[in-house]
Amino acid sequence: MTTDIIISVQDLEKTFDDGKLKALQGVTADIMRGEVVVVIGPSGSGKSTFLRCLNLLETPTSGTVTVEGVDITNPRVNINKHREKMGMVFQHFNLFPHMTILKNMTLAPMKLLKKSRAEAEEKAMSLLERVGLAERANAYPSQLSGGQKQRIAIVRALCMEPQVMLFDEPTSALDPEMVGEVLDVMKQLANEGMTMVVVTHEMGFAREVADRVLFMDEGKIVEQGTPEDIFSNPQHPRTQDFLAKVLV
Amino acid sequence: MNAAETLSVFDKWWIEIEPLVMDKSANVWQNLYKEIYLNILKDDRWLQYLKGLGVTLRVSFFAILVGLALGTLLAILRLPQMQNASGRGKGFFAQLGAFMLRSLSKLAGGYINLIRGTPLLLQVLIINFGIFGTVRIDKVIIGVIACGLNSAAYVAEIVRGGIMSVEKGQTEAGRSLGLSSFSTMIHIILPQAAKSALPAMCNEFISLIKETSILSYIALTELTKAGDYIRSRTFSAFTPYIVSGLLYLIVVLTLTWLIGKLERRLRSSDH
Amino acid sequence: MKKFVALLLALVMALACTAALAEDVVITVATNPEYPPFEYVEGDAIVGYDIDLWVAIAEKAGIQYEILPMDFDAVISAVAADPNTVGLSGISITDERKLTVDFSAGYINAGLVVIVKADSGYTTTDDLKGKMIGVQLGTTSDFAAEEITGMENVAQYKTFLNAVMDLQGNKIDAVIIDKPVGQAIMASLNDPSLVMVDMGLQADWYGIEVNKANPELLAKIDAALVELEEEGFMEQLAVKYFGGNEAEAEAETEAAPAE
Repeated sequence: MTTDIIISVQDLEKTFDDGKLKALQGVTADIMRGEVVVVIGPSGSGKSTFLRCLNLLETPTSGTVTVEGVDITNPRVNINKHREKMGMVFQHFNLFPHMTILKNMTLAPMKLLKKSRAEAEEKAMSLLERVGLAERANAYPSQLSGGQKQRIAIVRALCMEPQVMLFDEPTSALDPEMVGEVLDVMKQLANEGMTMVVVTHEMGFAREVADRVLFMDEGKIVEQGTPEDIFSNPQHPRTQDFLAKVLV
Repeated sequence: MNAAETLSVFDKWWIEIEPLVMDKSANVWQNLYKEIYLNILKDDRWLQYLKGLGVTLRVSFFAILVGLALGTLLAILRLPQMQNASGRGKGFFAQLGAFMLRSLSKLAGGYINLIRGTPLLLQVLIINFGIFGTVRIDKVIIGVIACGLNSAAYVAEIVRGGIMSVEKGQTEAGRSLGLSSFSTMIHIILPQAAKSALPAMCNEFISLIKETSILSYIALTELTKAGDYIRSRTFSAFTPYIVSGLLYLIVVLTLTWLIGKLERRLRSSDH
Repeated sequence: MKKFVALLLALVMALACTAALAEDVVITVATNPEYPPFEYVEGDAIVGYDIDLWVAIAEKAGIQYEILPMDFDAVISAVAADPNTVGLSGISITDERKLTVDFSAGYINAGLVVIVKADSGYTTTDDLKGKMIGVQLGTTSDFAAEEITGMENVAQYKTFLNAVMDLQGNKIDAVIIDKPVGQAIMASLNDPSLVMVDMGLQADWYGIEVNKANPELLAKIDAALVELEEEGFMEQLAVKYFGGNEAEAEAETEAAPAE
């Protein structure tokens, strides 16, 4: 792990409904290259909003998000170019239902990276093989189980060869028996040195894989540290309270 | 049928029956044959219906294309993100662009209300006698323009409904891969919107085909008018309408069948 | 749509009325009052040459009636469906129509004229060959235009007024029209770019359309027409609507094809 900062977030604020709902109230954090950061916290704590601000799926009300030295909240910046480098995985997979798995995976590389069909498909097939779904390349998303869909969603993002992967509760919509297969892919990815920001309720995953854990509550980062610090020795009462509830 | 040798068997039958019809002694079957002969067979009148059908199909086909293209554009302009376009940043051009989008969106809304709020007949008459009042232009083209502009308003609402029915996550997935909002719309949203809008769209196409009959008011000889034409010659109570009606029915049933096939094909990704 | 409703109504009426040929039935007079000066709307009333004529016939023959305005297409349906409905709407008598309905003796043949653009220079029917001619569908003008320029070049409108408007807009080259109707339209438009030319076109006789199932009514109407002619009423009517110089057209009534 190097100490090179890949994403730097400064004083991020986000309000909804004309300021009535404060989702983020001044979040500042740096993500290092190769680091796996797991964001935990009660629902409504702003952790998903924080993640979605990192690739500007939510436009911050104020504050800056700097990716590889470029402030992407500046309207002059071509946000599409930056999103290419930041893969995202959603709670509900969001595969394109009208396309085969292979088309799902090759659409963006062919459009944006100007890859030929053959190149894009080769890359897609090698990724599918890695997650053990090569034989489903020509299936449609509706023919897959939830766990399979999420693994596809991960490799679809990887087809763009991103620098960072953002995971927004990737296992929350899965049946319990399918959670493992998805977490395995994520662990594998972490082991390969991918920079990852993961919003999750999987405390086991956080403990095992995270380099750093952020605990968020009420739109703020309340406490952060290594998994051991957070899980074994939480400092803040709200962290303690939260962990007491989830680690029954 | 000038020369005797060109008489068909139908003409010969008619010649036998005609005196009976004139002195009102024809039986039911002979009167039925009179209706069929006068309204379909005589002077190759069936060709008139087919020509009318050809005009109806031509106008409908191009009007559907115009309606789809313009309607989709209107639908996109009516999306919430266009109505509330705010522009990224406070720069003059960003704000100007956002203002123009909002204005176009309002304009599109006004257009849809105007078209849906007035009868097609009035629109046809205004386009023919008003907008193209002094232009010598093929009535088929006027028909395509009038019906296409009308259909666009309905198509817009159907497509908008279709777009809104696509989950927000689909847009987010597309955008998070780095696709532009335009590419996302074209490759991800519209194909899914089209699928869910297909039944309503089929309805709209069917309505449009039948509504082209209004073009008889501007002397375009489409299918209904072809029936009117023959009726004005024979004074038959309704036989020509039955012939025209059957032809409409065939067209509509064929279209319904084709769209049903397309629907099943699109559904193949659902099982 | 309207036509199909009319058709349905007509069917229902046909079922209801075939039995009801009683003495004191009320005859429905179906007319399309968009054909001045034969029938048109003035204020709330439907008036015109045909209407005056009908009032006189009804008085002579002792017919109770009500006048019902409708589209020309619907006039055809209404008469076809109901023996107690007559069509009175400047209807041309043709051999083909006689196969399906009966007509009274012809009561007027006012002649046809052609309205063209003043700068067109069209003066004879030869000038109109292959040109787009506008007419009202199913009128005697329609038949005349088909003979001159061929079926493909006749634009058939629902009303003459629309045909003349398309002529003003250069969409067609000429409008063939009943002389009195043409005069009425020219007077109301007062458009110097249009001229009315008499090309000596032959018109059909107009007759009152009667359902074939009601020969008694037809006979009453024909008898009344003969009486009115003898009394000089027809000539008075021509003078009232077409002025003195048109009276000779009316005088031809005697040569009308009697049934």
